[in-house]
Amino acid sequence: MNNIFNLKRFMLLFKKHSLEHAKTNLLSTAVLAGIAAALMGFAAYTGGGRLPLQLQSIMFIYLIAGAGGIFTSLTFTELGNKRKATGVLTLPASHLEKFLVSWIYSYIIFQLVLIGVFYVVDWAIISVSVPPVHEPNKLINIFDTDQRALVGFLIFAIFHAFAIWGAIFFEKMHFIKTAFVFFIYIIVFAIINEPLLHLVTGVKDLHGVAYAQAYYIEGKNYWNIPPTDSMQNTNLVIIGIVVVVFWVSAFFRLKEKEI
Amino acid sequence: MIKISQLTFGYGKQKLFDNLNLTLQPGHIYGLLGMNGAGKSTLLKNIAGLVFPWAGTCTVNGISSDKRLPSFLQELFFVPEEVYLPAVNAKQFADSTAHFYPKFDHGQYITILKEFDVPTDKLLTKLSFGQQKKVIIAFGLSTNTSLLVMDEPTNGLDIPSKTQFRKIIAAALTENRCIIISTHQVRDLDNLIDAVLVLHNQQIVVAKSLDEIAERISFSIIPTTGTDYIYAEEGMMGLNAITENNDNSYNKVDMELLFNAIITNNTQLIDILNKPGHE
Repeated sequence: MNNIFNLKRFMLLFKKHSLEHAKTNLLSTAVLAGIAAALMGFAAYTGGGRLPLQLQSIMFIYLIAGAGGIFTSLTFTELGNKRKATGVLTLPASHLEKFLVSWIYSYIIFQLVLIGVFYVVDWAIISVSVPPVHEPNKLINIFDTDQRALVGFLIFAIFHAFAIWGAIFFEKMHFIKTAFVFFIYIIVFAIINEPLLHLVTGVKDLHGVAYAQAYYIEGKNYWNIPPTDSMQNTNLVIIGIVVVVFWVSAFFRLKEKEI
Repeated sequence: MIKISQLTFGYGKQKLFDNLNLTLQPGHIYGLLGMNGAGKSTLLKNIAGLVFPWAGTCTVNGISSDKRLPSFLQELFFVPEEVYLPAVNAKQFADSTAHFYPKFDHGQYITILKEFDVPTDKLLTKLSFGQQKKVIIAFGLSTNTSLLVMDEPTNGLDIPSKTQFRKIIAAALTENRCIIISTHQVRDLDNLIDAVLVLHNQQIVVAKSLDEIAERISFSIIPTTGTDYIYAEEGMMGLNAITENNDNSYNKVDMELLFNAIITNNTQLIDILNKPGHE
Protein backbone atom coordinates (compact mmCIF):
# COMPACT_ATOMS: atom_id res chain seq x y z
CA MET A 1 0.00 0.00 0.00
CA ASN A 2 1.24 3.47 -0.88
CA ASN A 3 1.23 5.41 2.36
CA ILE A 4 2.14 8.75 0.77
CA PHE A 5 -0.22 9.22 -2.15
CA ASN A 6 -2.85 7.05 -3.74
CA LEU A 7 -5.02 8.57 -6.47
CA LYS A 8 -8.09 6.48 -5.66
CA ARG A 9 -7.89 7.34 -1.97
CA PHE A 10 -7.31 10.99 -2.85
CA MET A 11 -10.42 11.05 -5.07
CA LEU A 12 -12.49 9.45 -2.30
CA LEU A 13 -11.24 12.04 0.15
CA PHE A 14 -12.00 14.83 -2.30
CA LYS A 15 -15.54 13.46 -2.74
CA LYS A 16 -16.04 13.17 1.03
CA HIS A 17 -14.77 16.70 1.60
CA SER A 18 -17.01 18.06 -1.19
CA LEU A 19 -20.11 16.33 0.18
CA GLU A 20 -19.54 17.38 3.78
CA HIS A 21 -18.63 20.99 2.96
CA ALA A 22 -21.09 21.55 0.11
CA LYS A 23 -23.54 23.58 2.18
CA THR A 24 -20.86 25.80 3.75
CA ASN A 25 -19.15 26.37 0.41
CA LEU A 26 -22.41 27.29 -1.32
CA LEU A 27 -23.27 29.73 1.44
CA SER A 28 -19.76 31.23 1.26
CA THR A 29 -20.17 31.70 -2.50
CA ALA A 30 -23.48 33.47 -1.94
CA VAL A 31 -21.88 35.75 0.67
CA LEU A 32 -18.99 36.48 -1.70
CA ALA A 33 -21.43 37.42 -4.46
CA GLY A 34 -23.33 39.65 -2.04
CA ILE A 35 -20.17 41.48 -0.94
CA ALA A 36 -18.99 41.86 -4.56
CA ALA A 37 -22.39 43.22 -5.59
CA ALA A 38 -22.46 45.64 -2.66
CA LEU A 39 -18.92 46.92 -3.34
CA MET A 40 -19.24 47.31 -7.09
CA GLY A 41 -22.83 48.50 -6.94
CA PHE A 42 -21.87 51.21 -4.44
CA ALA A 43 -18.86 52.23 -6.56
CA ALA A 44 -20.98 52.48 -9.72
CA TYR A 45 -23.76 54.37 -7.88
CA THR A 46 -21.43 56.95 -6.35
CA GLY A 47 -19.56 57.26 -9.66
CA GLY A 48 -22.71 58.29 -11.50
CA GLY A 49 -23.00 54.94 -13.25
CA ARG A 50 -19.32 54.84 -14.17
CA LEU A 51 -17.30 51.72 -13.36
CA PRO A 52 -13.92 52.34 -14.99
CA LEU A 53 -11.48 49.52 -15.65
CA GLN A 54 -9.10 50.73 -12.93
CA LEU A 55 -11.89 50.59 -10.36
CA GLN A 56 -12.93 47.09 -11.50
CA SER A 57 -9.31 46.10 -11.17
CA ILE A 58 -9.08 47.43 -7.60
CA MET A 59 -12.34 45.70 -6.68
CA PHE A 60 -10.99 42.42 -8.00
CA ILE A 61 -7.79 42.79 -5.96
CA TYR A 62 -9.77 43.60 -2.78
CA LEU A 63 -12.05 40.63 -3.29
CA ILE A 64 -9.41 38.03 -4.09
CA ALA A 65 -7.11 39.18 -1.26
CA GLY A 66 -9.76 39.79 1.41
CA ALA A 67 -12.16 36.94 0.74
CA GLY A 68 -9.29 34.61 -0.14
CA GLY A 69 -7.50 35.28 3.13
CA ILE A 70 -10.64 34.68 5.18
CA PHE A 71 -11.70 31.57 3.22
CA THR A 72 -8.24 30.01 3.48
CA SER A 73 -8.10 30.71 7.21
CA LEU A 74 -11.27 28.66 7.61
CA THR A 75 -9.86 25.71 5.65
CA PHE A 76 -8.41 23.77 8.55
CA THR A 77 -10.72 25.01 11.31
CA GLU A 78 -11.52 21.36 12.08
CA LEU A 79 -8.04 20.95 13.49
CA GLY A 80 -8.66 23.65 16.08
CA ASN A 81 -11.69 21.76 17.38
CA LYS A 82 -10.76 18.54 19.19
CA ARG A 83 -14.08 16.88 18.38
CA LYS A 84 -13.64 17.50 14.68
CA ALA A 85 -9.88 17.00 14.58
CA THR A 86 -10.14 13.40 15.81
CA GLY A 87 -12.18 12.42 12.77
CA VAL A 88 -9.89 14.27 10.37
CA LEU A 89 -6.61 12.95 11.75
CA THR A 90 -7.71 9.32 12.16
CA LEU A 91 -9.32 9.08 8.73
CA PRO A 92 -7.27 6.54 6.74
CA ALA A 93 -5.72 8.90 4.19
CA SER A 94 -2.21 10.29 4.08
CA HIS A 95 -1.27 13.73 5.34
CA LEU A 96 -0.37 14.70 1.78
CA GLU A 97 -3.80 13.73 0.50
CA LYS A 98 -5.53 15.62 3.32
CA PHE A 99 -3.40 18.69 2.72
CA LEU A 100 -3.87 18.60 -1.05
CA VAL A 101 -7.66 18.41 -0.83
CA SER A 102 -7.73 21.53 1.34
CA TRP A 103 -5.10 23.23 -0.81
CA ILE A 104 -7.04 22.57 -4.01
CA TYR A 105 -10.26 23.86 -2.47
CA SER A 106 -8.72 26.97 -0.92
CA TYR A 107 -6.34 27.86 -3.75
CA ILE A 108 -7.52 26.51 -7.09
CA ILE A 109 -11.28 26.16 -6.66
CA PHE A 110 -11.54 29.39 -4.68
CA GLN A 111 -9.89 31.39 -7.49
CA LEU A 112 -12.10 29.76 -10.15
CA VAL A 113 -15.23 30.50 -8.12
CA LEU A 114 -14.09 34.04 -7.36
CA ILE A 115 -13.39 34.81 -11.03
CA GLY A 116 -16.81 33.40 -11.97
CA VAL A 117 -18.61 35.36 -9.25
CA PHE A 118 -16.67 38.53 -10.06
CA TYR A 119 -17.56 38.42 -13.75
CA VAL A 120 -21.23 37.62 -13.14
CA VAL A 121 -21.57 40.47 -10.64
CA ASP A 122 -19.42 42.86 -12.69
CA TRP A 123 -21.43 42.11 -15.83
CA ALA A 124 -24.71 42.55 -13.94
CA ILE A 125 -23.64 45.90 -12.44
CA ILE A 126 -22.40 47.17 -15.80
CA SER A 127 -25.62 46.02 -17.46
CA VAL A 128 -27.86 47.96 -15.09
CA SER A 129 -25.60 51.02 -14.71
CA VAL A 130 -26.32 54.10 -16.79
CA PRO A 131 -22.97 55.87 -17.31
CA PRO A 132 -22.57 59.12 -19.26
CA VAL A 133 -22.96 58.43 -23.02
CA HIS A 134 -19.35 59.39 -23.81
CA GLU A 135 -17.94 57.14 -21.05
CA PRO A 136 -19.49 53.68 -21.56
CA ASN A 137 -18.47 50.96 -19.11
CA LYS A 138 -16.38 48.07 -20.37
CA LEU A 139 -15.99 44.66 -18.78
CA ILE A 140 -12.42 44.21 -17.53
CA ASN A 141 -10.15 41.44 -18.73
CA ILE A 142 -8.42 40.52 -15.48
CA PHE A 143 -5.67 38.72 -17.40
CA ASP A 144 -4.78 41.83 -19.41
CA THR A 145 -1.21 42.75 -18.49
CA ASP A 146 -2.07 46.46 -18.88
CA GLN A 147 -4.45 46.20 -15.92
CA ARG A 148 -3.33 45.84 -12.31
CA ALA A 149 -5.82 43.03 -11.62
CA LEU A 150 -3.10 40.46 -12.21
CA VAL A 151 -1.38 41.75 -9.06
CA GLY A 152 -4.37 40.32 -7.19
CA PHE A 153 -3.25 36.78 -8.01
CA LEU A 154 0.19 37.49 -6.59
CA ILE A 155 -1.22 39.06 -3.42
CA PHE A 156 -3.61 36.15 -3.02
CA ALA A 157 -0.77 33.63 -3.35
CA ILE A 158 1.06 35.37 -0.48
CA PHE A 159 -2.09 35.69 1.64
CA HIS A 160 -3.00 32.07 0.93
CA ALA A 161 0.42 30.80 1.99
CA PHE A 162 0.27 32.72 5.28
CA ALA A 163 -3.38 31.90 5.89
CA ILE A 164 -3.11 28.13 5.31
CA TRP A 165 -0.09 28.02 7.60
CA GLY A 166 -1.97 30.01 10.27
CA ALA A 167 -5.07 27.85 9.85
CA ILE A 168 -3.07 24.78 10.91
CA PHE A 169 -0.73 26.49 13.35
CA PHE A 170 -3.32 28.33 15.43
CA GLU A 171 -6.14 26.51 17.18
CA LYS A 172 -8.63 29.37 17.43
CA MET A 173 -9.29 32.72 15.76
CA HIS A 174 -7.12 31.64 12.84
CA PHE A 175 -7.77 34.65 10.62
CA ILE A 176 -7.19 37.29 13.30
CA LYS A 177 -4.05 35.64 14.66
CA THR A 178 -2.59 35.03 11.19
CA ALA A 179 -3.33 38.60 10.13
CA PHE A 180 -1.69 39.83 13.32
CA VAL A 181 1.48 37.79 12.67
CA PHE A 182 1.47 38.94 9.03
CA PHE A 183 1.29 42.62 9.97
CA ILE A 184 3.97 42.21 12.64
CA TYR A 185 6.16 40.67 9.91
CA ILE A 186 5.44 43.60 7.55
CA ILE A 187 6.21 46.17 10.28
CA VAL A 188 9.45 44.47 11.32
CA PHE A 189 10.46 44.13 7.69
CA ALA A 190 9.74 47.80 7.01
CA ILE A 191 11.74 48.86 10.09
CA ILE A 192 14.83 46.78 9.32
CA ASN A 193 14.73 47.47 5.59
CA GLU A 194 16.29 50.93 5.73
CA PRO A 195 19.17 50.17 8.14
CA LEU A 196 19.87 47.13 5.97
CA LEU A 197 19.91 49.35 2.87
CA HIS A 198 22.38 51.73 4.53
CA LEU A 199 24.54 48.82 5.65
CA VAL A 200 24.68 47.34 2.15
CA THR A 201 25.19 50.59 0.20
CA GLY A 202 26.89 52.81 2.79
CA VAL A 203 24.75 55.73 1.57
CA LYS A 204 22.91 57.56 4.37
CA ASP A 205 20.41 59.45 2.23
CA LEU A 206 19.20 56.37 0.43
CA HIS A 207 15.69 55.30 1.40
CA GLY A 208 13.57 52.46 0.17
CA VAL A 209 10.40 50.43 0.18
CA ALA A 210 10.99 46.70 0.34
CA TYR A 211 10.28 44.80 -2.88
CA ALA A 212 9.36 48.08 -4.65
CA GLN A 213 11.90 50.87 -5.10
CA ALA A 214 14.67 52.97 -3.58
CA TYR A 215 14.97 56.75 -3.61
CA TYR A 216 17.77 59.17 -2.94
CA ILE A 217 17.20 62.55 -1.28
CA GLU A 218 19.82 65.29 -1.29
CA GLY A 219 18.55 68.62 -0.03
CA LYS A 220 15.52 69.42 -2.10
CA ASN A 221 16.46 66.97 -4.85
CA TYR A 222 14.74 63.61 -5.11
CA TRP A 223 15.86 60.74 -7.34
CA ASN A 224 13.68 57.68 -7.78
CA ILE A 225 15.58 54.44 -8.40
CA PRO A 226 13.05 51.89 -9.74
CA PRO A 227 14.00 48.23 -9.85
CA THR A 228 15.22 46.89 -13.17
CA ASP A 229 13.26 44.20 -14.98
CA SER A 230 15.65 41.54 -13.75
CA MET A 231 15.26 42.81 -10.16
CA GLN A 232 11.48 42.63 -10.51
CA ASN A 233 11.82 39.09 -11.74
CA THR A 234 14.05 38.31 -8.75
CA ASN A 235 11.34 39.75 -6.48
CA LEU A 236 8.77 37.47 -8.05
CA VAL A 237 11.05 34.47 -7.59
CA ILE A 238 11.64 35.40 -3.91
CA ILE A 239 7.90 35.80 -3.34
CA GLY A 240 7.32 32.46 -5.08
CA ILE A 241 9.89 30.78 -2.83
CA VAL A 242 8.33 32.32 0.31
CA VAL A 243 4.88 31.11 -0.76
CA VAL A 244 6.12 27.56 -1.39
CA VAL A 245 8.06 27.54 1.89
CA PHE A 246 4.88 28.46 3.80
CA TRP A 247 2.86 25.80 1.95
CA VAL A 248 5.48 23.15 2.76
CA SER A 249 5.69 24.40 6.34
CA ALA A 250 1.88 24.13 6.64
CA PHE A 251 2.03 20.55 5.35
CA PHE A 252 4.63 19.54 7.94
CA ARG A 253 2.63 21.30 10.63
CA LEU A 254 -0.32 19.09 9.65
CA LYS A 255 1.89 16.00 9.92
CA GLU A 256 2.92 17.02 13.42
CA LYS A 257 -0.54 18.08 14.55
CA GLU A 258 -1.54 16.74 17.97
CA ILE A 259 -4.86 17.18 19.73
CA MET B 1 -0.95 -6.30 18.35
CA ILE B 2 -0.32 -3.22 20.55
CA LYS B 3 3.09 -2.78 22.07
CA ILE B 4 3.85 0.24 24.21
CA SER B 5 7.44 0.45 25.39
CA GLN B 6 8.90 2.90 27.87
CA LEU B 7 6.22 5.46 27.03
CA THR B 8 6.72 8.85 28.62
CA PHE B 9 4.20 11.56 27.88
CA GLY B 10 2.56 14.58 29.43
CA TYR B 11 1.17 18.02 28.79
CA GLY B 12 3.34 21.06 29.42
CA LYS B 13 5.47 20.23 32.43
CA GLN B 14 3.02 17.70 33.86
CA LYS B 15 4.09 14.14 33.19
CA LEU B 16 1.20 11.71 32.79
CA PHE B 17 3.11 8.51 31.93
CA ASP B 18 6.59 7.60 33.01
CA ASN B 19 8.19 4.65 31.20
CA LEU B 20 4.83 2.97 30.77
CA ASN B 21 4.84 -0.52 29.25
CA LEU B 22 1.87 -2.44 27.93
CA THR B 23 1.20 -5.26 25.49
CA LEU B 24 -2.29 -6.08 24.26
CA GLN B 25 -3.40 -9.05 22.18
CA PRO B 26 -6.26 -9.57 19.71
CA GLY B 27 -9.32 -11.55 20.73
CA HIS B 28 -9.90 -9.54 23.90
CA ILE B 29 -12.07 -6.70 25.15
CA TYR B 30 -9.94 -4.64 27.47
CA GLY B 31 -11.45 -2.28 30.02
CA LEU B 32 -9.19 0.66 30.74
CA LEU B 33 -9.88 2.03 34.21
CA GLY B 34 -8.41 5.02 35.96
CA MET B 35 -9.33 7.97 38.09
CA ASN B 36 -10.30 11.29 36.54
CA GLY B 37 -7.16 12.87 35.16
CA ALA B 38 -5.14 9.65 35.31
CA GLY B 39 -4.61 9.83 31.56
CA LYS B 40 -6.98 7.21 30.13
CA SER B 41 -7.98 9.35 27.15
CA THR B 42 -4.38 10.42 26.65
CA LEU B 43 -3.19 6.82 26.58
CA LEU B 44 -5.82 6.04 23.96
CA LYS B 45 -4.71 9.09 21.98
CA ASN B 46 -1.14 7.82 22.07
CA ILE B 47 -2.32 4.48 20.71
CA ALA B 48 -4.34 6.22 17.96
CA GLY B 49 -1.48 8.55 17.01
CA LEU B 50 -3.33 11.69 18.04
CA VAL B 51 -0.50 12.72 20.37
CA PHE B 52 3.16 11.78 20.14
CA PRO B 53 5.28 10.22 22.89
CA TRP B 54 7.94 12.33 24.58
CA ALA B 55 9.97 9.16 24.79
CA GLY B 56 9.36 5.50 24.06
CA THR B 57 7.31 3.90 21.34
CA CYS B 58 3.76 2.89 20.65
CA THR B 59 3.14 0.45 17.82
CA VAL B 60 0.04 -1.24 16.48
CA ASN B 61 0.64 -4.32 14.32
CA GLY B 62 4.28 -3.26 14.15
CA ILE B 63 3.52 0.23 12.78
CA SER B 64 4.40 3.27 14.84
CA SER B 65 1.23 5.17 15.81
CA ASP B 66 2.72 8.65 15.52
CA LYS B 67 3.28 8.28 11.76
CA ARG B 68 -0.51 8.05 11.21
CA LEU B 69 0.05 6.09 8.01
CA PRO B 70 -3.06 5.08 6.03
CA SER B 71 -2.10 1.38 6.42
CA PHE B 72 -2.17 1.93 10.21
CA LEU B 73 -5.32 4.06 10.26
CA GLN B 74 -7.40 1.67 8.15
CA GLU B 75 -6.92 -0.97 10.85
CA LEU B 76 -7.89 1.34 13.70
CA PHE B 77 -11.12 3.07 14.60
CA PHE B 78 -11.27 5.58 17.42
CA VAL B 79 -14.57 6.45 19.07
CA PRO B 80 -13.89 9.69 20.96
CA GLU B 81 -15.73 10.75 24.10
CA GLU B 82 -17.19 13.75 22.32
CA VAL B 83 -18.19 12.98 18.78
CA TYR B 84 -18.53 15.25 15.79
CA LEU B 85 -20.54 14.21 12.77
CA PRO B 86 -21.10 16.16 9.55
CA ALA B 87 -24.45 17.44 8.31
CA VAL B 88 -25.32 14.31 6.35
CA ASN B 89 -27.50 11.33 7.22
CA ALA B 90 -26.18 8.01 8.54
CA LYS B 91 -26.33 6.34 5.10
CA GLN B 92 -24.55 9.22 3.37
CA PHE B 93 -21.93 9.22 6.10
CA ALA B 94 -21.22 5.54 5.44
CA ASP B 95 -21.25 6.11 1.66
CA SER B 96 -18.59 8.80 1.91
CA THR B 97 -16.44 7.33 4.68
CA ALA B 98 -16.74 3.54 4.57
CA HIS B 99 -14.49 3.27 1.46
CA PHE B 100 -11.50 4.10 3.63
CA TYR B 101 -11.99 0.91 5.64
CA PRO B 102 -11.49 -2.18 3.45
CA LYS B 103 -13.42 -4.51 5.78
CA PHE B 104 -16.41 -2.24 6.28
CA ASP B 105 -19.72 -4.15 6.36
CA HIS B 106 -22.71 -2.00 5.28
CA GLY B 107 -25.20 -4.70 6.31
CA GLN B 108 -23.72 -4.84 9.79
CA TYR B 109 -23.87 -1.02 10.03
CA ILE B 110 -27.57 -0.88 9.16
CA THR B 111 -28.34 -3.79 11.50
CA ILE B 112 -26.58 -2.14 14.46
CA LEU B 113 -28.29 1.19 13.75
CA LYS B 114 -31.64 -0.63 13.76
CA GLU B 115 -30.78 -2.36 17.03
CA PHE B 116 -29.87 1.02 18.49
CA ASP B 117 -33.09 2.45 17.03
CA VAL B 118 -31.29 5.27 15.20
CA PRO B 119 -32.97 6.69 12.06
CA THR B 120 -30.78 6.36 8.95
CA ASP B 121 -32.37 9.14 6.94
CA LYS B 122 -32.16 11.98 9.45
CA LEU B 123 -29.32 14.51 9.41
CA LEU B 124 -26.69 13.42 11.93
CA THR B 125 -26.41 16.97 13.25
CA LYS B 126 -30.11 16.85 14.17
CA LEU B 127 -29.70 13.71 16.29
CA SER B 128 -29.29 13.82 20.07
CA PHE B 129 -25.82 13.40 21.58
CA GLY B 130 -26.64 9.81 22.60
CA GLN B 131 -27.88 8.96 19.11
CA GLN B 132 -24.81 10.51 17.51
CA LYS B 133 -22.70 8.37 19.80
CA LYS B 134 -24.63 5.29 18.71
CA VAL B 135 -23.98 6.15 15.05
CA ILE B 136 -20.24 6.44 15.57
CA ILE B 137 -20.19 3.22 17.65
CA ALA B 138 -22.16 1.41 14.92
CA PHE B 139 -19.81 2.78 12.27
CA GLY B 140 -16.72 1.85 14.29
CA LEU B 141 -17.92 -1.71 14.83
CA SER B 142 -18.80 -2.09 11.15
CA THR B 143 -15.34 -1.01 10.00
CA ASN B 144 -14.14 -4.37 11.35
CA THR B 145 -10.74 -2.86 12.02
CA SER B 146 -8.36 -5.05 14.00
CA LEU B 147 -8.26 -2.40 16.71
CA LEU B 148 -11.30 -0.57 18.03
CA VAL B 149 -10.62 2.08 20.64
CA MET B 150 -13.51 3.62 22.55
CA ASP B 151 -13.15 6.50 24.96
CA GLU B 152 -16.02 6.64 27.44
CA PRO B 153 -18.47 5.15 24.90
CA THR B 154 -21.31 4.80 27.38
CA ASN B 155 -21.37 8.51 28.28
CA GLY B 156 -24.61 9.87 26.90
CA LEU B 157 -26.27 6.47 26.50
CA ASP B 158 -29.46 5.77 28.42
CA ILE B 159 -29.77 2.61 30.56
CA PRO B 160 -31.45 0.37 27.90
CA SER B 161 -28.87 1.54 25.37
CA LYS B 162 -26.03 0.60 27.72
CA THR B 163 -27.40 -2.93 27.92
CA GLN B 164 -27.72 -3.04 24.15
CA PHE B 165 -24.21 -1.64 23.81
CA ARG B 166 -22.79 -4.51 25.88
CA LYS B 167 -24.60 -7.09 23.73
CA ILE B 168 -23.49 -5.51 20.44
CA ILE B 169 -19.87 -5.17 21.51
CA ALA B 170 -19.70 -8.72 22.77
CA ALA B 171 -21.08 -9.95 19.45
CA ALA B 172 -18.58 -7.91 17.48
CA LEU B 173 -15.50 -9.44 19.08
CA THR B 174 -13.55 -11.86 16.89
CA GLU B 175 -10.24 -13.59 17.51
CA ASN B 176 -8.53 -11.08 15.19
CA ARG B 177 -9.93 -8.04 16.85
CA CYS B 178 -8.85 -6.10 19.91
CA ILE B 179 -11.28 -3.73 21.60
CA ILE B 180 -10.24 -1.21 24.24
CA ILE B 181 -12.90 0.60 26.23
CA SER B 182 -12.00 3.32 28.67
CA THR B 183 -14.44 4.38 31.32
CA HIS B 184 -14.67 5.77 34.81
CA GLN B 185 -18.06 4.13 35.20
CA VAL B 186 -16.83 0.68 36.14
CA ARG B 187 -20.33 -0.83 36.29
CA ASP B 188 -20.80 -0.17 32.56
CA LEU B 189 -18.16 -2.77 31.80
CA ASP B 190 -19.76 -5.55 33.85
CA ASN B 191 -20.22 -8.74 31.82
CA LEU B 192 -18.51 -7.12 28.86
CA ILE B 193 -14.75 -7.02 29.22
CA ASP B 194 -12.51 -10.03 29.66
CA ALA B 195 -9.37 -8.15 30.72
CA VAL B 196 -8.76 -5.12 32.83
CA LEU B 197 -6.10 -2.41 32.62
CA VAL B 198 -5.73 -0.03 35.54
CA LEU B 199 -3.89 3.21 34.96
CA HIS B 200 -2.61 4.75 38.16
CA ASN B 201 0.41 6.79 39.24
CA GLN B 202 1.69 7.22 35.66
CA GLN B 203 1.78 3.44 35.11
CA ILE B 204 -0.41 0.54 34.10
CA VAL B 205 -0.40 -1.08 37.53
CA VAL B 206 -2.61 -4.00 36.57
CA ALA B 207 -3.07 -5.58 33.14
CA LYS B 208 -4.73 -8.94 33.68
CA SER B 209 -7.59 -11.02 32.35
CA LEU B 210 -10.57 -11.35 34.66
CA ASP B 211 -9.89 -15.10 34.86
CA GLU B 212 -6.37 -14.49 36.10
CA ILE B 213 -7.60 -11.99 38.66
CA ALA B 214 -10.28 -14.39 39.89
CA GLU B 215 -7.66 -17.12 40.21
CA ARG B 216 -5.58 -14.99 42.53
CA ILE B 217 -8.09 -13.11 44.63
CA SER B 218 -11.62 -13.66 45.92
CA PHE B 219 -14.43 -11.20 46.32
CA SER B 220 -16.79 -11.97 49.15
CA ILE B 221 -18.79 -10.55 52.03
CA ILE B 222 -17.23 -11.17 55.40
CA PRO B 223 -18.35 -10.20 58.91
CA THR B 224 -17.56 -6.69 60.00
CA THR B 225 -15.32 -8.13 62.67
CA GLY B 226 -13.18 -9.91 60.07
CA THR B 227 -9.58 -8.83 59.64
CA ASP B 228 -8.16 -11.40 57.26
CA TYR B 229 -8.53 -9.45 54.03
CA ILE B 230 -6.39 -7.51 51.58
CA TYR B 231 -8.92 -4.75 51.14
CA ALA B 232 -12.46 -4.19 52.39
CA GLU B 233 -15.26 -1.68 52.24
CA GLU B 234 -18.28 -1.49 54.47
CA GLY B 235 -21.43 -2.85 52.87
CA MET B 236 -25.06 -3.53 53.81
CA MET B 237 -24.40 -7.16 54.78
CA GLY B 238 -20.93 -6.82 56.26
CA LEU B 239 -17.58 -6.08 54.68
CA ASN B 240 -17.17 -6.36 50.91
CA ALA B 241 -13.70 -7.83 50.98
CA ILE B 242 -10.92 -8.91 48.73
CA THR B 243 -9.01 -11.89 50.02
CA GLU B 244 -6.33 -14.09 48.55
CA ASN B 245 -7.82 -17.01 46.58
CA ASN B 246 -5.88 -19.85 48.09
CA ASP B 247 -8.25 -22.68 47.15
CA ASN B 248 -8.76 -21.68 43.49
CA SER B 249 -12.48 -21.33 44.05
CA TYR B 250 -14.52 -19.71 41.28
CA ASN B 251 -15.73 -16.18 41.97
CA LYS B 252 -16.83 -13.15 39.99
CA VAL B 253 -14.56 -10.13 39.91
CA ASP B 254 -16.10 -7.08 41.54
CA MET B 255 -14.44 -4.45 39.37
CA GLU B 256 -15.52 -1.50 41.44
CA LEU B 257 -14.05 -3.02 44.59
CA LEU B 258 -10.90 -4.04 42.73
CA PHE B 259 -10.50 -0.57 41.27
CA ASN B 260 -11.04 1.12 44.63
CA ALA B 261 -8.45 -1.16 46.22
CA ILE B 262 -5.86 -0.38 43.55
CA ILE B 263 -6.28 3.39 43.65
CA THR B 264 -5.73 3.37 47.40
CA ASN B 265 -2.23 2.14 46.54
CA ASN B 266 -2.82 -1.27 48.07
CA THR B 267 0.61 -2.69 47.30
CA GLN B 268 -0.21 -6.10 48.74
CA LEU B 269 -3.02 -6.52 46.22
CA ILE B 270 -0.96 -5.19 43.31
CA ASP B 271 1.89 -7.53 44.21
CA ILE B 272 -0.42 -10.54 44.34
CA LEU B 273 -1.93 -9.68 40.99
CA ASN B 274 1.42 -9.09 39.33
CA LYS B 275 3.24 -11.98 40.97
CA PRO B 276 4.95 -14.02 38.25
CA GLY B 277 4.27 -17.70 37.82
CA HIS B 278 0.50 -17.58 37.56
CA GLU B 279 0.41 -16.82 33.82
